[in-house]
Amino acid sequence: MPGLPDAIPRTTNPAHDNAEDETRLTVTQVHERHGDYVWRTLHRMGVRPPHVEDVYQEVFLVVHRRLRTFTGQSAITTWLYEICFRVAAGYRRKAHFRREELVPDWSALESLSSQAPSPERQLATSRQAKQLERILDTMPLEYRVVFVMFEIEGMSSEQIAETVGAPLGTVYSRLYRARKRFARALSRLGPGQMENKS
Amino acid sequence: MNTPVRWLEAGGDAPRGAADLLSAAAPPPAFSDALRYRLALGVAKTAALPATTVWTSLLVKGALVATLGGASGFVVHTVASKHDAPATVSAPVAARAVVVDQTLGAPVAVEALPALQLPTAPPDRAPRLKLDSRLEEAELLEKARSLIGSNPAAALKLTAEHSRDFPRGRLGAEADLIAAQSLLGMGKVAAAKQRAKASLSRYPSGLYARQLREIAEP
Repeated sequence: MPGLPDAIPRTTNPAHDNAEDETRLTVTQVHERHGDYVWRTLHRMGVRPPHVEDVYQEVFLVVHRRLRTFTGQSAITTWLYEICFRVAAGYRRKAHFRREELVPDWSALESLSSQAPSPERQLATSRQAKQLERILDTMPLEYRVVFVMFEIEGMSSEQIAETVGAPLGTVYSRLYRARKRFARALSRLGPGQMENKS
Repeated sequence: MNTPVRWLEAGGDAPRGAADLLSAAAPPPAFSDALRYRLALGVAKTAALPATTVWTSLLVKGALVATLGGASGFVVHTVASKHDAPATVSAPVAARAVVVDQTLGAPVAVEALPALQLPTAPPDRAPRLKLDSRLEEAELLEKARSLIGSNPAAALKLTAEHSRDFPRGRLGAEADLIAAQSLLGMGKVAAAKQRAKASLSRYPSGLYARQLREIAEP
């Protein structure tokens, strides 16, 4: 495939693209530079606001423990992504074990209030967001992340490949499988359970 | 490969109802300055810990789990051994066995207890759990790929594992590329070229043909 990159590109942010420098970062510097990235990644992985701060600290505990092993052979964001993935997978298992319902952050929907013309519309949007989260929660984490970045956040395939540290072909394959799972889950919901905006 | 069209874009072949759900997605909570500061406090506490302390804590926990596991295993093994060795059971042990069984009902002689079938030796290799072979295949190769730079020999070993476990796998060309890159990393240039050439003969226009060609014909 001509478009396939030879290697996973490093971060395109010039402030952060020197991997050798990144190997000398302290854990607090990693937080300062990449905290936003870790925060967004955990959200993509379905970690909910009631727990996300604890999970974030758990990620940085691992970062602190393993920082010396980061050799700069990949972008630090790729390295952080792998840590987030493992910690979020553990969080998911615990949530499943406790049979908790992973509900979306309703407070985040408050920002929609100015756009929503009516309370009915807001309620419908809230229910749709909840349905969406339920479907996403059924997906394996690696599929979910790619699906969220591509379909919801509108990231390009190349950006996703860089973020998750996978070849472009793997990204496409995960997206394909995620879409299949999404469509299957959607068909199970049925028209009676679907929230319509109209 | 054409970039897929997003479901929310014109021409995106979204299933019915998908676009509405995707449009309703809650945005990620903002990473505000206040939040950054609050999280920084926790990170600073973590940073104050020496990394060895964290390791030590984990080692202690691991040792505790291993000890408890070992102790319970010893108990199980001891009981099983008693059940398995009626001919050599001593009188006091036999008596204890009878006492224990009295709590369950009629006394049962040790000789009458069924023998437990415990494995005498661990299997050579645990059977691979086949949940989704395609995903498993991809994961194995991803693991191999991640090792090319740091431990090419281990990466090469994983590609051999791939050949053995997924003889009809879909990612053969990718496995070949990883193997060739690992061989290069180990300094075995001739072997790397040979592997790349062999792969090119099997997948002349495959996804990784260009990269394999670069190794085969530099």
